[in-house]
Amino acid sequence: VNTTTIAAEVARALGELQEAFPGRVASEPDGLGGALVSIAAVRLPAGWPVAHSALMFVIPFNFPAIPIYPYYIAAEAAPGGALAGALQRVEWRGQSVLQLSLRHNRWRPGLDTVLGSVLQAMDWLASR
Amino acid sequence: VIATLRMTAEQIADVRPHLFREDRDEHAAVLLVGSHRTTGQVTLLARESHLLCEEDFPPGEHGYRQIAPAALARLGNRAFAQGLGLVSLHSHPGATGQVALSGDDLQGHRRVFGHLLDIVGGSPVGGIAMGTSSADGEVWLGPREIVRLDRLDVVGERSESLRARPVHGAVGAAERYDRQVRMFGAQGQAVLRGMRVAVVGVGGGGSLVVEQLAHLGVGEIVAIDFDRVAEHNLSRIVGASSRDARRGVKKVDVARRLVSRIDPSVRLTAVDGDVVDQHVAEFLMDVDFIVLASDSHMSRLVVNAVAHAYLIPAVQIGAKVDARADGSIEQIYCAIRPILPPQGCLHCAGAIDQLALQRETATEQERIAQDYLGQHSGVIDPSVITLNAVTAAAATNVLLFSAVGLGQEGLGRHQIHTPADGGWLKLRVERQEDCRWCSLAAHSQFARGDGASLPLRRVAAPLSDSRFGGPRRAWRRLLARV
Repeated sequence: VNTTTIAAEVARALGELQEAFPGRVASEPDGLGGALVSIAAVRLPAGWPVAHSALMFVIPFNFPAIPIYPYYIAAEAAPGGALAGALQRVEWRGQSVLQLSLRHNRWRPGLDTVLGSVLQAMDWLASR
Repeated sequence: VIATLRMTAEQIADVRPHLFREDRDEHAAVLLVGSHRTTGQVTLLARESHLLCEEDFPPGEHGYRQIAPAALARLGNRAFAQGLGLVSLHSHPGATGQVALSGDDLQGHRRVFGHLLDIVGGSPVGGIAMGTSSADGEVWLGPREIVRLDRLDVVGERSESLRARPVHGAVGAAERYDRQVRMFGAQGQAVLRGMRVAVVGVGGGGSLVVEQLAHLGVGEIVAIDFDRVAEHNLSRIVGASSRDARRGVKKVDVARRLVSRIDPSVRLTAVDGDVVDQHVAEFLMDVDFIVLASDSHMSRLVVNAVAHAYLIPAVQIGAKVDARADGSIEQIYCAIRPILPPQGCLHCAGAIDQLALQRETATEQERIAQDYLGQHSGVIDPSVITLNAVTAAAATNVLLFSAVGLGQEGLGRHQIHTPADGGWLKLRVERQEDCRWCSLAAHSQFARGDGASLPLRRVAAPLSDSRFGGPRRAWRRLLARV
């Protein structure tokens, strides 16, 4: 069963991202009211094998009741050696990716925004 | 079309002393309301109450008093900005037993409500005359769609229904209810008979609630569950048999059979589905009370959201036996959490676990990937019918005492029972000022009715990777684009 409908709050969140990252956001309905999202050309830390990757995540159908978790980047972006605690190599939606386990411990539904969450993830990546 | 207005006990406690003062003069208030419409029914849901001062409710040109145009414009614009309707309340101080809109009231509506509908952008508007224990009004759904108010329902620890004239219950309640009618009267029995109660999850706890509701003689039970009976359920589900387990009978069908054996006049609507799905959750929006007896935090999120968006009283129950990985018992407790204003909601109480929500929202593959620390080993917690029975009886009592008007302050507090030492703990839950569900913050969904944004899944699909059979290809296309 599938549908192309996206919940109003999810559509609003997508609009927020498209405004902040013009031309870099791609999305598809996840079939449940949420959306699969990818933001292109996100800067990775110096010294990692590639300079940029897409940042991928799901905005779930029940957003903003629950926050974005986790984020993913391309598997080939993985730094050499053992991965740090918040990074894991996983299979996701039929492909190998690098999972970023960044949780919002004090998420405030309706007050905290998808953009704030994405910027935190980007900031975390940039500060590695 | 039947029109009702629903207010919380907290709101009416705020408005009543303002309307009925020692000066025995007429006073007024304005409610900004969300609404819920179905075929043949409109329910207005009070979100904000504004008490009007003398300047806003001066002596009128056409009647004794009227709401000042400036006040109506101010509050109408506020309603429009929030997508809400507007209802005025004014007192008829001499009306004790019954009340009726006066000719001046009705003429006032005809002069003003057409313009008011324009101001609020098409949301309903209405005017209600209040007696001390009665209410009469009309609701304008459009310039030519005018409906008389059927009743004003007050939800809270002690619920009440105000009508233009008091309705006396069936004086001779059926013999089968004789003993309970001696406690809450024929009027109370009539209230129960008029109720539609949803029970979400009809396993161990929920089946007991269904059994008790059938014995009490409620009018209709809406039983919601997607699961089927298995052998390991037989120690707890009331009315289930080995034959049901062998055949994998739906739990809602066991509930239906149970009710028909107890009292065939009690209607049971069986909903075979997950309350997280929108088309299933919609069944909740037209009930008078919700008992949540399922295990998932997603269902807590949904019921908590619906209860506040539609001002429906509810109670969540759970019996928890925490077992360690080695099978030893860590703690045993029973939780009964009423969702009754003015208490804070399940979110404010910390009873909706964000990590659990994320796990339940994720696919199976995502759950495994996210549990990289191995914290969720899939230990099956014990479950015992005696613990379910404590929570079921306490939840049904919350419904009963609230509905028949026997509830007292404190009925809405959360209860934690620790059966190992016989302890009971009662907790007052403070409402968080910025809560998305129960506060009046701008982003709150409280009393927004059909205008609320609810955390509901759009389609009934199993939460497994199979649901991404189509979107997986779409996802690859998406990746190719970026």
